[in-house]
Amino acid sequence: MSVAYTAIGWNRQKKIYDSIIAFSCVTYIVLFAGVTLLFNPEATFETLLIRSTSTLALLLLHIILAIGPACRLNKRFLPLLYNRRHLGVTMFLVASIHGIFSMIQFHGLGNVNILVSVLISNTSFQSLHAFPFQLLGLAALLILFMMAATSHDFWLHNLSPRVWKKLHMLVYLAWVLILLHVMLGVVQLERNPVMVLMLFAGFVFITVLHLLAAAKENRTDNLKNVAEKDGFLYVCKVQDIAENRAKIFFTGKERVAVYRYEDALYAIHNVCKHQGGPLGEGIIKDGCITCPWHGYQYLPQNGQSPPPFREKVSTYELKLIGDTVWINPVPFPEGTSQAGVKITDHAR
Amino acid sequence: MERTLRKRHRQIWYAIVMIVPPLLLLSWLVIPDTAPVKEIRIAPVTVLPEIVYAGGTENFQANLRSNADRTIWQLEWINKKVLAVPSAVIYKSNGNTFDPAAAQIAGRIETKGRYYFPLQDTTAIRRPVKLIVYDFIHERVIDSINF
Repeated sequence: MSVAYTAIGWNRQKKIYDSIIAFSCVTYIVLFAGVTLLFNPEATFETLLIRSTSTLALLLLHIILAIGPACRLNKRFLPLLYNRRHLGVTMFLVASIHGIFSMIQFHGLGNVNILVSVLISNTSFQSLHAFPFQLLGLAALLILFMMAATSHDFWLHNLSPRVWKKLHMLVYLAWVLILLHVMLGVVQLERNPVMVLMLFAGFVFITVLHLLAAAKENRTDNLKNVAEKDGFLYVCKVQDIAENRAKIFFTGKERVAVYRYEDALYAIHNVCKHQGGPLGEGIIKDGCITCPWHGYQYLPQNGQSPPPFREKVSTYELKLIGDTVWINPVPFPEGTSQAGVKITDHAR
Repeated sequence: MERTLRKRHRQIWYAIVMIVPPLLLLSWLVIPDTAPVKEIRIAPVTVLPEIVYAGGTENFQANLRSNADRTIWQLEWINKKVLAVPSAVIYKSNGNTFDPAAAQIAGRIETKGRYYFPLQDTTAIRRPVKLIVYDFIHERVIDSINF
């Protein structure tokens, strides 16, 4: 991360990630064009470009939507999440090529402005079959543009993580608009059952993946913590927490990461200030709790990012009773120092 | 995610699961049974062998073609340049005057290229013959040629 608003250098991992994306996209377009020309040699360059970019953008969008829940279900997918925004910007660029070439191809020969033509050429809003599907695609493209334009951390800091995240949740609206754009557009004209099947399968796949991830998190959140002593809630036994790692605990309102580090226990809010990553799924590196998503770091004893960074999260009061860990669910203000609870030989 | 964002996320997914499947299903059900006609098939034109009258300007070339016994006539029209109007109609008029209501419509021209129009004449066409390029939208004569 960068503390100043300057372009962030391309590290090796980013270069590899982006090279794979670029290579995959070019390979897809070439393969698509090749197979299409094999079955339809009369296809023009414009048609090949419009169709290959449309299917590629749709595929990329489904991959992007799958990364989040896949990471919640299995940590091995985390490397994909690290540069998900690069994939998002690539998807927007590919979708833009589709949108711009389609507008030129289908609206460029008229005597009105291309954009005006897109907006007024079809007004059959009362018909589902003849619905102006191009407007749905245009609306989705505008959302994707807004997301790509604000994808840099500059906007994340200026808009605040909460507003930024809300803005970027519009990806779901864009996804739905694109599904309808395809169903009410090319599917109505081509009547290709394979296209319909693939679209339905994609929708079911993404939905099931999100529901599975939600169910997994709900199981953790819904664990009943009946034990309560003097306002403290029972978390677990000391032995249940591995060194340099955490146990995520749901207080009834928020998730808390209870870390074990150098024979002491610390509790901080589970949500990273950067993009809401689960801090409790990270590890302690160089004395700092490290977010598994993008590597943002926090000191366990006060929830503050080490200088010069200024992010900070809430800390919580812990206590040990025998070998059991207990937490006060009321958080301290963000960045409040809280000495770790020493693990005694008896508790160990 | 924080609690409020988690709640928002959950609401979004409730909405997606409830609204999108019926919409997808509905759009699948309204797919028409009949295949749309995408191709415009034009019967191949047989070009008549003899050019009887020919003429033209920098914008077009017009040839009146016929067979050996002059029983079938055809207008070969070559548009050398793009029309300044969306489309125009070619009329054939016998004599030097032009009345759209009385003249014979040969055909419609649009872009640059070669057009062939059958003519109604079944006997030898006699001079003078006038061909008029008429902009029917603005109701004005764009060009003409006399044979």
